[in-house]
Amino acid sequence: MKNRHRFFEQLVSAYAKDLYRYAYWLCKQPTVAEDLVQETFTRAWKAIDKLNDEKAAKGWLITILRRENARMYEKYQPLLIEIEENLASDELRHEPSMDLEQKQLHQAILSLPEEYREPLVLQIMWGFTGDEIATELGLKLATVNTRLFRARKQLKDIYVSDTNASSKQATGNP
Amino acid sequence: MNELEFRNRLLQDPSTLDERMLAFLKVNPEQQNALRKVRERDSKIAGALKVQAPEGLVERILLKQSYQESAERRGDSQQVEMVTDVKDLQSERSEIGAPKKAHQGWQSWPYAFSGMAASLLVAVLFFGFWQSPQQSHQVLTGEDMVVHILEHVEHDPDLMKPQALALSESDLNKLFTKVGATLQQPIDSMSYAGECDVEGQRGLHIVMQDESGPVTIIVMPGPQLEAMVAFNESGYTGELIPVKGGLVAILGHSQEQLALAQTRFFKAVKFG
Repeated sequence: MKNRHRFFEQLVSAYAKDLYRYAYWLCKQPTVAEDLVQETFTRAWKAIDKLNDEKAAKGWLITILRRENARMYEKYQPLLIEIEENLASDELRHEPSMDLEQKQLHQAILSLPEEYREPLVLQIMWGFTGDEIATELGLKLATVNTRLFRARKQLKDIYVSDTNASSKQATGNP
Repeated sequence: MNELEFRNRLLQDPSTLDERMLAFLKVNPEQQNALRKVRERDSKIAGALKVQAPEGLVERILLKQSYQESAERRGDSQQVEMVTDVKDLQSERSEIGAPKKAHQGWQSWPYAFSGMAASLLVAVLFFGFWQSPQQSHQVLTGEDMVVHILEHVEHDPDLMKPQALALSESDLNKLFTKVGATLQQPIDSMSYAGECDVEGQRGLHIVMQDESGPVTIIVMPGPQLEAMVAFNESGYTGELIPVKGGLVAILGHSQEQLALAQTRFFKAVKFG
Protein backbone atom coordinates (compact mmCIF):
# COMPACT_ATOMS: atom_id res chain seq x y z
CA MET A 1 0.00 0.00 0.00
CA LYS A 2 1.48 3.32 -1.09
CA ASN A 3 0.44 5.49 1.80
CA ARG A 4 -0.85 3.43 4.67
CA HIS A 5 -1.08 6.46 6.99
CA ARG A 6 -3.34 8.37 4.69
CA PHE A 7 -5.41 5.30 3.96
CA PHE A 8 -5.77 4.58 7.66
CA GLU A 9 -6.83 8.16 8.36
CA GLN A 10 -9.38 7.90 5.57
CA LEU A 11 -10.75 4.70 7.08
CA VAL A 12 -11.01 6.29 10.51
CA SER A 13 -12.68 9.43 9.17
CA ALA A 14 -15.10 7.47 7.02
CA TYR A 15 -16.10 4.69 9.40
CA ALA A 16 -15.27 5.52 13.05
CA LYS A 17 -18.61 7.10 13.88
CA ASP A 18 -20.72 4.46 12.16
CA LEU A 19 -18.60 1.72 13.73
CA TYR A 20 -19.23 3.34 17.09
CA ARG A 21 -22.97 3.28 16.39
CA TYR A 22 -22.77 -0.35 15.31
CA ALA A 23 -20.80 -1.21 18.46
CA TYR A 24 -23.29 0.68 20.59
CA TRP A 25 -26.18 -1.39 19.23
CA LEU A 26 -24.16 -4.56 19.75
CA CYS A 27 -23.09 -3.97 23.35
CA LYS A 28 -25.59 -1.27 24.40
CA GLN A 29 -22.95 0.58 26.41
CA PRO A 30 -21.39 3.81 25.14
CA THR A 31 -18.02 3.44 26.86
CA VAL A 32 -17.62 -0.19 25.89
CA ALA A 33 -18.66 0.78 22.36
CA GLU A 34 -15.80 3.25 22.16
CA ASP A 35 -13.39 0.64 23.52
CA LEU A 36 -14.53 -1.70 20.79
CA VAL A 37 -13.97 0.89 18.08
CA GLN A 38 -10.54 1.79 19.46
CA GLU A 39 -9.54 -1.86 19.55
CA THR A 40 -10.95 -2.44 16.08
CA PHE A 41 -8.78 0.30 14.62
CA THR A 42 -5.74 -0.84 16.61
CA ARG A 43 -6.07 -4.25 14.99
CA ALA A 44 -6.92 -2.71 11.63
CA TRP A 45 -3.71 -0.65 11.70
CA LYS A 46 -1.62 -3.73 12.50
CA ALA A 47 -3.15 -5.63 9.59
CA ILE A 48 -3.74 -2.80 7.16
CA ASP A 49 -1.26 -4.16 4.61
CA LYS A 50 -3.39 -7.28 4.33
CA LEU A 51 -6.38 -5.31 3.11
CA ASN A 52 -5.91 -5.78 -0.61
CA ASP A 53 -9.26 -4.54 -1.82
CA GLU A 54 -10.06 -1.12 -0.42
CA LYS A 55 -13.72 -1.61 -1.32
CA ALA A 56 -13.83 -4.45 1.18
CA ALA A 57 -12.80 -2.16 4.03
CA LYS A 58 -16.32 -1.74 5.39
CA GLY A 59 -16.96 -5.46 5.82
CA TRP A 60 -13.40 -5.99 7.05
CA LEU A 61 -13.82 -3.45 9.85
CA ILE A 62 -17.22 -4.87 10.81
CA THR A 63 -15.70 -8.34 11.02
CA ILE A 64 -12.88 -7.13 13.27
CA LEU A 65 -15.33 -5.30 15.50
CA ARG A 66 -17.64 -8.30 15.83
CA ARG A 67 -14.68 -10.48 16.85
CA GLU A 68 -13.59 -7.92 19.41
CA ASN A 69 -17.11 -7.74 20.78
CA ALA A 70 -17.28 -11.51 21.12
CA ARG A 71 -13.88 -11.52 22.82
CA MET A 72 -14.84 -8.77 25.24
CA TYR A 73 -18.23 -10.30 25.94
CA GLU A 74 -16.63 -13.63 26.75
CA LYS A 75 -14.13 -11.92 29.05
CA TYR A 76 -16.62 -9.84 31.05
CA GLN A 77 -19.90 -11.66 30.41
CA PRO A 78 -21.47 -11.80 33.91
CA LEU A 79 -20.71 -8.18 34.72
CA LEU A 80 -21.79 -6.86 31.34
CA ILE A 81 -25.11 -8.67 31.46
CA GLU A 82 -25.78 -7.27 34.92
CA ILE A 83 -25.40 -3.64 33.98
CA GLU A 84 -26.20 -3.40 30.28
CA GLU A 85 -29.92 -2.63 30.32
CA ASN A 86 -29.80 -0.01 33.04
CA LEU A 87 -26.81 1.73 31.59
CA ALA A 88 -28.30 2.08 28.11
CA SER A 89 -31.54 3.50 29.53
CA ASP A 90 -29.59 5.82 31.77
CA GLU A 91 -27.65 7.25 28.83
CA LEU A 92 -30.90 7.97 27.05
CA ARG A 93 -32.25 10.10 29.88
CA HIS A 94 -29.56 12.63 29.13
CA GLU A 95 -30.21 12.88 25.39
CA PRO A 96 -32.35 16.02 25.13
CA SER A 97 -32.00 16.20 21.36
CA MET A 98 -34.30 13.15 21.01
CA ASP A 99 -38.05 13.61 21.05
CA LEU A 100 -40.39 11.17 22.81
CA GLU A 101 -41.04 9.15 19.68
CA GLN A 102 -37.31 8.72 19.01
CA LYS A 103 -36.71 7.71 22.61
CA GLN A 104 -39.48 5.10 22.43
CA LEU A 105 -38.04 3.76 19.21
CA HIS A 106 -34.55 3.75 20.68
CA GLN A 107 -35.78 1.70 23.64
CA ALA A 108 -37.71 -0.59 21.32
CA ILE A 109 -34.57 -1.27 19.27
CA LEU A 110 -32.61 -1.92 22.46
CA SER A 111 -35.24 -4.39 23.58
CA LEU A 112 -34.99 -6.45 20.37
CA PRO A 113 -33.14 -9.74 20.71
CA GLU A 114 -29.57 -9.28 19.51
CA GLU A 115 -30.07 -11.82 16.72
CA TYR A 116 -32.79 -9.58 15.25
CA ARG A 117 -31.17 -6.25 16.01
CA GLU A 118 -27.81 -6.93 14.39
CA PRO A 119 -29.03 -7.75 10.85
CA LEU A 120 -31.38 -4.79 11.03
CA VAL A 121 -28.51 -2.44 11.88
CA LEU A 122 -26.37 -3.90 9.11
CA GLN A 123 -29.17 -3.43 6.59
CA ILE A 124 -30.50 -0.03 7.57
CA MET A 125 -27.37 1.72 8.80
CA TRP A 126 -24.67 0.08 6.71
CA GLY A 127 -26.72 -0.67 3.59
CA PHE A 128 -25.76 -4.36 3.53
CA THR A 129 -27.79 -6.61 1.24
CA GLY A 130 -29.36 -9.81 2.56
CA ASP A 131 -26.51 -11.84 1.02
CA GLU A 132 -23.86 -9.61 2.57
CA ILE A 133 -25.50 -9.88 5.99
CA ALA A 134 -25.69 -13.65 5.60
CA THR A 135 -21.97 -13.80 4.80
CA GLU A 136 -20.99 -11.47 7.63
CA LEU A 137 -23.06 -13.28 10.24
CA GLY A 138 -22.45 -16.77 8.87
CA LEU A 139 -26.14 -17.44 8.32
CA LYS A 140 -28.32 -18.63 5.48
CA LEU A 141 -30.10 -15.93 3.49
CA ALA A 142 -33.48 -17.35 4.51
CA THR A 143 -32.53 -17.04 8.19
CA VAL A 144 -31.43 -13.45 7.69
CA ASN A 145 -34.72 -12.62 5.96
CA THR A 146 -36.71 -14.22 8.77
CA ARG A 147 -34.78 -12.24 11.36
CA LEU A 148 -35.23 -8.98 9.46
CA PHE A 149 -38.95 -9.70 9.16
CA ARG A 150 -39.26 -10.42 12.87
CA ALA A 151 -37.22 -7.37 13.84
CA ARG A 152 -39.46 -5.02 11.87
CA LYS A 153 -42.59 -6.83 13.02
CA GLN A 154 -41.60 -6.51 16.68
CA LEU A 155 -40.69 -2.86 16.27
CA LYS A 156 -43.99 -2.21 14.50
CA ASP A 157 -45.93 -3.88 17.32
CA ILE A 158 -44.03 -2.03 20.06
CA TYR A 159 -44.25 1.21 18.11
CA VAL A 160 -48.02 0.91 17.56
CA SER A 161 -48.68 0.03 21.19
CA ASP A 162 -46.47 2.92 22.42
CA THR A 163 -48.15 5.36 20.05
CA ASN A 164 -51.59 4.27 21.25
CA ALA A 165 -50.52 4.62 24.89
CA SER A 166 -49.14 8.12 24.23
CA SER A 167 -52.34 9.19 22.46
CA LYS A 168 -54.47 7.93 25.37
CA GLN A 169 -52.23 9.79 27.80
CA ALA A 170 -52.48 12.99 25.76
CA THR A 171 -56.29 12.83 25.58
CA GLY A 172 -56.65 11.72 29.18
CA ASN A 173 -58.49 8.55 28.18
CA PRO A 174 -57.76 5.42 30.19
CA MET B 1 -47.41 -13.49 -5.17
CA ASN B 2 -50.32 -12.67 -2.87
CA GLU B 3 -50.77 -9.81 -0.44
CA LEU B 4 -49.44 -11.73 2.56
CA GLU B 5 -46.22 -12.62 0.76
CA PHE B 6 -45.85 -9.05 -0.49
CA ARG B 7 -46.20 -7.64 3.01
CA ASN B 8 -43.81 -10.22 4.45
CA ARG B 9 -41.23 -9.33 1.82
CA LEU B 10 -41.68 -5.64 2.62
CA LEU B 11 -40.74 -6.31 6.22
CA GLN B 12 -37.62 -8.13 5.07
CA ASP B 13 -36.35 -5.27 2.93
CA PRO B 14 -38.57 -2.37 1.92
CA SER B 15 -35.80 -0.47 0.14
CA THR B 16 -35.30 -2.90 -2.76
CA LEU B 17 -38.25 -4.38 -4.61
CA ASP B 18 -37.58 -7.22 -7.02
CA GLU B 19 -39.46 -7.79 -10.29
CA ARG B 20 -42.16 -9.95 -8.66
CA MET B 21 -42.89 -7.33 -6.04
CA LEU B 22 -42.96 -4.54 -8.62
CA ALA B 23 -45.35 -6.58 -10.76
CA PHE B 24 -47.61 -7.21 -7.77
CA LEU B 25 -47.57 -3.52 -6.92
CA LYS B 26 -48.53 -2.61 -10.47
CA VAL B 27 -51.59 -4.86 -10.31
CA ASN B 28 -52.44 -3.82 -6.71
CA PRO B 29 -51.69 -0.08 -6.52
CA GLU B 30 -53.48 0.19 -3.15
CA GLN B 31 -50.47 -1.65 -1.68
CA GLN B 32 -48.42 1.52 -2.28
CA ASN B 33 -49.79 2.67 1.05
CA ALA B 34 -48.29 -0.34 2.87
CA LEU B 35 -44.98 0.26 1.11
CA ARG B 36 -45.01 3.93 2.12
CA LYS B 37 -45.74 3.10 5.77
CA VAL B 38 -42.94 0.52 6.04
CA ARG B 39 -40.49 2.89 4.39
CA GLU B 40 -41.52 5.70 6.74
CA ARG B 41 -40.95 3.45 9.75
CA ASP B 42 -37.57 2.42 8.35
CA SER B 43 -36.60 6.03 8.00
CA LYS B 44 -37.49 6.60 11.66
CA ILE B 45 -35.53 3.49 12.65
CA ALA B 46 -32.55 4.83 10.70
CA GLY B 47 -32.85 8.09 12.65
CA ALA B 48 -33.00 6.26 15.98
CA LEU B 49 -30.01 4.08 15.07
CA LYS B 50 -27.89 7.15 14.44
CA VAL B 51 -26.80 7.67 18.04
CA GLN B 52 -24.35 10.46 18.67
CA ALA B 53 -20.73 9.38 18.53
CA PRO B 54 -18.51 10.71 21.34
CA GLU B 55 -16.76 14.01 20.80
CA GLY B 56 -13.14 13.61 19.69
CA LEU B 57 -13.50 9.91 18.80
CA VAL B 58 -11.64 10.16 15.48
CA GLU B 59 -8.82 12.17 17.07
CA ARG B 60 -8.45 9.68 19.93
CA ILE B 61 -8.20 6.78 17.47
CA LEU B 62 -5.54 8.57 15.41
CA LEU B 63 -3.63 9.54 18.52
CA LYS B 64 -3.60 5.97 19.77
CA GLN B 65 -2.41 4.79 16.37
CA SER B 66 0.41 7.31 16.45
CA TYR B 67 1.47 6.08 19.90
CA GLN B 68 1.29 2.55 18.61
CA GLU B 69 3.39 3.34 15.58
CA SER B 70 5.91 5.28 17.58
CA ALA B 71 6.29 2.33 19.97
CA GLU B 72 6.59 -0.11 17.07
CA ARG B 73 9.35 1.99 15.55
CA ARG B 74 11.23 1.89 18.84
CA GLY B 75 10.51 -1.78 19.27
CA ASP B 76 8.95 -0.92 22.60
CA SER B 77 5.92 -3.07 23.13
CA GLN B 78 5.37 -1.74 26.64
CA GLN B 79 4.15 1.56 25.33
CA VAL B 80 1.62 -0.04 23.00
CA GLU B 81 0.27 -2.08 25.87
CA MET B 82 0.04 1.02 28.00
CA VAL B 83 -1.94 2.94 25.43
CA THR B 84 -4.31 0.04 25.05
CA ASP B 85 -4.62 -0.22 28.80
CA VAL B 86 -5.88 3.35 29.09
CA LYS B 87 -9.08 2.27 27.43
CA ASP B 88 -9.14 -1.14 29.07
CA LEU B 89 -8.83 0.36 32.51
CA GLN B 90 -11.26 3.08 31.69
CA SER B 91 -13.92 0.64 30.68
CA GLU B 92 -13.23 -1.74 33.54
CA ARG B 93 -13.52 1.07 36.02
CA SER B 94 -16.53 2.85 34.68
CA GLU B 95 -18.50 -0.01 33.26
CA ILE B 96 -17.72 -2.97 35.39
CA GLY B 97 -17.70 -1.32 38.75
CA ALA B 98 -13.94 -1.61 39.27
CA PRO B 99 -13.55 -5.27 39.98
CA LYS B 100 -10.45 -6.54 41.76
CA LYS B 101 -8.54 -7.00 38.56
CA ALA B 102 -9.08 -3.39 37.60
CA HIS B 103 -7.86 -2.19 40.97
CA GLN B 104 -4.68 -4.14 40.53
CA GLY B 105 -4.28 -2.50 37.13
CA TRP B 106 -4.71 0.97 38.55
CA GLN B 107 -2.23 0.31 41.30
CA SER B 108 0.38 -0.67 38.77
CA TRP B 109 -0.02 2.55 36.82
CA PRO B 110 2.44 4.75 38.71
CA TYR B 111 5.20 2.22 37.94
CA ALA B 112 4.27 2.01 34.29
CA PHE B 113 4.19 5.76 34.01
CA SER B 114 7.43 6.47 35.78
CA GLY B 115 9.10 4.57 32.94
CA MET B 116 6.92 6.34 30.44
CA ALA B 117 7.72 9.78 31.75
CA ALA B 118 11.40 9.28 31.06
CA SER B 119 10.80 8.36 27.47
CA LEU B 120 8.06 10.87 26.87
CA LEU B 121 9.31 14.02 28.49
CA VAL B 122 7.71 16.16 25.89
CA ALA B 123 5.71 13.85 23.67
CA VAL B 124 3.75 16.27 21.61
CA LEU B 125 2.05 14.43 18.84
CA PHE B 126 0.01 15.71 15.97
CA PHE B 127 0.78 19.36 16.36
CA GLY B 128 -1.99 20.82 14.32
CA PHE B 129 -2.18 24.50 13.60
CA TRP B 130 -4.95 26.50 15.06
CA GLN B 131 -6.11 29.99 14.58
CA SER B 132 -8.38 32.08 16.76
CA PRO B 133 -11.06 34.10 14.97
CA GLN B 134 -10.29 36.98 17.33
CA GLN B 135 -6.57 36.81 16.59
CA SER B 136 -6.62 35.99 12.94
CA HIS B 137 -3.22 37.61 12.43
CA GLN B 138 -1.62 35.19 14.87
CA VAL B 139 -1.15 31.56 13.97
CA LEU B 140 -0.20 29.43 16.95
CA THR B 141 0.72 25.81 17.18
CA GLY B 142 -0.66 23.32 19.66
CA GLU B 143 2.62 23.80 21.54
CA ASP B 144 1.89 27.51 22.04
CA MET B 145 -1.54 26.62 23.34
CA VAL B 146 -0.03 24.16 25.81
CA VAL B 147 2.27 26.90 27.16
CA HIS B 148 -0.65 29.33 27.57
CA ILE B 149 -2.80 26.80 29.35
CA LEU B 150 -0.02 25.66 31.69
CA GLU B 151 0.66 29.27 32.64
CA HIS B 152 -3.02 29.81 33.28
CA VAL B 153 -3.42 26.71 35.43
CA GLU B 154 -0.42 27.58 37.56
CA HIS B 155 -1.66 31.16 38.01
CA ASP B 156 -4.28 30.24 40.64
CA PRO B 157 -3.35 27.02 42.48
CA ASP B 158 -6.14 27.55 45.06
CA LEU B 159 -8.67 26.45 42.44
CA MET B 160 -7.16 22.99 42.54
CA LYS B 161 -8.08 22.38 46.19
CA PRO B 162 -11.02 20.07 46.92
CA GLN B 163 -14.11 22.12 47.66
CA ALA B 164 -17.87 21.90 47.32
CA LEU B 165 -19.08 23.26 44.02
CA ALA B 166 -20.62 26.65 44.81
CA LEU B 167 -22.83 27.02 41.75
CA SER B 168 -26.46 26.29 41.06
CA GLU B 169 -27.49 24.13 38.12
CA SER B 170 -28.73 27.21 36.32
CA ASP B 171 -25.40 29.05 36.83
CA LEU B 172 -23.52 26.03 35.55
CA ASN B 173 -25.71 25.79 32.46
CA LYS B 174 -25.04 29.47 31.70
CA LEU B 175 -21.28 28.94 31.98
CA PHE B 176 -21.36 26.06 29.53
CA THR B 177 -23.66 27.89 27.12
CA LYS B 178 -21.17 30.79 26.98
CA VAL B 179 -18.52 28.46 25.55
CA GLY B 180 -20.89 26.82 23.05
CA ALA B 181 -21.47 23.68 25.09
CA THR B 182 -24.44 22.04 26.78
CA LEU B 183 -24.23 20.44 30.19
CA GLN B 184 -26.51 17.43 29.99
CA GLN B 185 -25.89 15.96 33.39
CA PRO B 186 -23.68 16.77 36.39
CA ILE B 187 -19.98 16.10 35.86
CA ASP B 188 -18.81 13.56 38.40
CA SER B 189 -16.36 14.94 40.98
CA MET B 190 -16.36 18.54 39.68
CA SER B 191 -15.13 20.86 42.45
CA TYR B 192 -14.84 24.15 40.57
CA ALA B 193 -16.25 25.79 37.45
CA GLY B 194 -15.78 29.39 36.41
CA GLU B 195 -15.00 31.70 33.54
CA CYS B 196 -11.35 32.27 32.79
CA ASP B 197 -9.06 34.25 30.57
CA VAL B 198 -6.29 32.53 28.62
CA GLU B 199 -4.22 35.10 26.72
CA GLY B 200 -7.25 37.31 26.09
CA GLN B 201 -9.56 34.41 25.21
CA ARG B 202 -12.59 33.81 27.40
CA GLY B 203 -12.91 30.20 28.38
CA LEU B 204 -14.35 27.89 30.99
CA HIS B 205 -12.12 26.54 33.75
CA ILE B 206 -13.19 23.33 35.45
CA VAL B 207 -11.47 21.34 38.19
CA MET B 208 -12.34 17.73 38.91
CA GLN B 209 -11.08 15.74 41.86
CA ASP B 210 -10.22 12.08 41.85
CA GLU B 211 -8.36 9.70 44.13
CA SER B 212 -4.97 10.74 42.77
CA GLY B 213 -5.55 14.50 42.80
CA PRO B 214 -7.10 17.33 40.81
CA VAL B 215 -7.57 17.40 37.05
CA THR B 216 -8.04 20.68 35.20
CA ILE B 217 -10.21 21.08 32.14
CA ILE B 218 -10.21 24.27 30.10
CA VAL B 219 -12.84 24.77 27.40
CA MET B 220 -11.72 27.35 24.86
CA PRO B 221 -14.20 28.45 22.21
CA GLY B 222 -12.58 29.70 19.00
CA PRO B 223 -9.20 28.02 18.50
CA GLN B 224 -9.33 25.09 16.13
CA LEU B 225 -6.92 22.19 16.17
CA GLU B 226 -6.64 19.88 13.21
CA ALA B 227 -6.09 16.92 15.48
CA MET B 228 -5.66 15.94 19.08
CA VAL B 229 -2.44 17.01 20.83
CA ALA B 230 -0.94 15.05 23.70
CA PHE B 231 1.81 16.46 25.86
CA ASN B 232 3.85 15.80 28.95
CA GLU B 233 5.36 18.97 30.29
CA SER B 234 6.16 20.78 33.56
CA GLY B 235 4.95 17.80 35.53
CA TYR B 236 1.61 17.74 33.73
CA THR B 237 0.24 15.15 31.39
CA GLY B 238 -2.34 16.63 29.09
CA GLU B 239 -4.40 16.55 25.96
CA LEU B 240 -5.86 19.19 23.70
CA ILE B 241 -8.96 17.77 22.09
CA PRO B 242 -10.66 19.50 19.17
CA VAL B 243 -14.41 19.89 19.58
CA LYS B 244 -17.08 21.71 17.60
CA GLY B 245 -16.29 25.42 17.85
CA GLY B 246 -13.10 25.18 19.88
CA LEU B 247 -10.99 22.87 21.96
CA VAL B 248 -10.93 21.18 25.33
CA ALA B 249 -7.66 20.97 27.28
CA ILE B 250 -7.39 18.31 29.98
CA LEU B 251 -4.45 18.40 32.38
CA GLY B 252 -3.60 15.95 35.10
CA HIS B 253 -0.61 14.05 36.36
CA SER B 254 -1.14 10.69 34.73
CA GLN B 255 -2.80 9.06 31.74
CA GLU B 256 -5.20 7.25 34.03
CA GLN B 257 -6.45 10.58 35.39
CA LEU B 258 -6.88 11.94 31.88
CA ALA B 259 -8.76 8.88 30.69
CA LEU B 260 -11.18 9.02 33.60
CA ALA B 261 -11.66 12.79 33.40
CA GLN B 262 -12.19 12.62 29.65
CA THR B 263 -14.87 9.97 30.04
CA ARG B 264 -16.67 11.86 32.80
CA PHE B 265 -16.48 15.19 30.98
CA PHE B 266 -17.64 14.05 27.53
CA LYS B 267 -20.37 11.90 29.05
CA ALA B 268 -21.88 15.04 30.55
CA VAL B 269 -21.05 17.76 28.02
CA LYS B 270 -22.02 18.11 24.36
CA PHE B 271 -20.70 20.60 21.86
CA GLY B 272 -22.34 22.20 18.85
